Amino acid sequence: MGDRKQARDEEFQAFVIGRWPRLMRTAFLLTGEQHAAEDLVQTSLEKVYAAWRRVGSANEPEAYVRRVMINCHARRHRRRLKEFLAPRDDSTLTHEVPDTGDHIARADDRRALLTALSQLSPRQREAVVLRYWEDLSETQAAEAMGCSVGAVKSNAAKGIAKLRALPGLAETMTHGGGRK
Amino acid sequence: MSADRETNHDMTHGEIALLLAEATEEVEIGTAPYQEVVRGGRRRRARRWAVATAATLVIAGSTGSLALAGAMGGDDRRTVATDSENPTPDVVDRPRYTTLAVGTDKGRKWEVRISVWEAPLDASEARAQLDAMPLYGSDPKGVRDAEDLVGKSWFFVDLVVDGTVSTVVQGPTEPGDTPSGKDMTSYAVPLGDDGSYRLAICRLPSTAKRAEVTWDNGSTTVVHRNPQGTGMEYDKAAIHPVDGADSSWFVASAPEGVAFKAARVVA
Repeated sequence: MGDRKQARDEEFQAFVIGRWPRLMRTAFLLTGEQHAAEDLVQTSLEKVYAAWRRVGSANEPEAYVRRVMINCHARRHRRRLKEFLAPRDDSTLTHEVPDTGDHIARADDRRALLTALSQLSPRQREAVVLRYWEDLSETQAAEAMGCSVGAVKSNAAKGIAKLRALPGLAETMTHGGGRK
Repeated sequence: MSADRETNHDMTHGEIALLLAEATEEVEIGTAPYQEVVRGGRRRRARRWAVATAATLVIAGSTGSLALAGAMGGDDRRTVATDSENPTPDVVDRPRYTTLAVGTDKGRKWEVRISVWEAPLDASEARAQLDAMPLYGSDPKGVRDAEDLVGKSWFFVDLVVDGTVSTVVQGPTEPGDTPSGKDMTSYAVPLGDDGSYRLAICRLPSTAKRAEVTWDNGSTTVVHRNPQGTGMEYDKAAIHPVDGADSSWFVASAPEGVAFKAARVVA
């Protein structure tokens, strides 16, 4: 009994340490802010821990944690009023300290994208991040978001259309992207 | 399966994926806070057990709303859930519920309901309330200590779409916050998949008889006070008294593609 518990704890620890960087990046794209991202990932992992006995033995604990994280993100945003969802001021974003011309340009590109993302609705942002960053299929994204495939398609399409329409991002897409 | 297989926009997909990957370089990854996660997880597990043992209480406290949800799809008129269906007044460890509106959107039923928690008189009552709130899905934002609740009544407005509950508005009210005259507090809330702010959720004085909502396409909705004891109609806004609150509320909805602009008390 004790051995099984210890094994589960070790398994969970390995899961947390192994997935933390990727989850942080996804959470950052969802929230656009360092502390909010840390908070989102930590809260999600706490929920996963509470259900680890079941989740750990399932085939896809990663899909479960993604679902939990999207739910937490959606719930937080649904609570907020319109003004909280309004475009963020640059000062709320974590900025890189530029030291060379190229770094400055790259940091600007990132900020342009983060600002653009902040102008999407939470559901559009989730759809874009899951489809384009997590590289999930529409079906997998629908599962993570707890909605229909049609809703994922619609939210992703609207999100991308909005991103394309933003002048700052259009420029980034023209000049950036290939620098990495 | 790669997402690329389901899209015809490979270039765009690749470009956006690359940009997103670059944007993630802004985040500092740091060390995974494993111990904190475990501590938090244990707390949540303990709370879950508490929820399981209190499930009957939750149902009792939600009778008005559950009865309404259960009846959705039948009659198009129903009675507003208020006083008689709610727990005893002046109890700090249970909220009182009032349904504010019901409607349909693309065949999906939605409901907006408000729960009001009585203001605790002292720290002991506040602790009881803070312990009870998670059992009812209430998570007061920004409250760190139970003492923060003393003397304040908290309200939570929930949007229920096809059985999925989301808290869309919440906050404390204190005795001096009672709206009067033509005071109005409005909240714009998204409804539907497109994220448009199609719901206007408004708090106004208990004396208000008529209000008007203006939408961003220039159209308006006039909202009248619902006479006590009369039915609630789908997709029809009406001003309702709220059990446990010193104000009234209403919810008005707009068609798809139209968003909230402003609201005011007319009379």
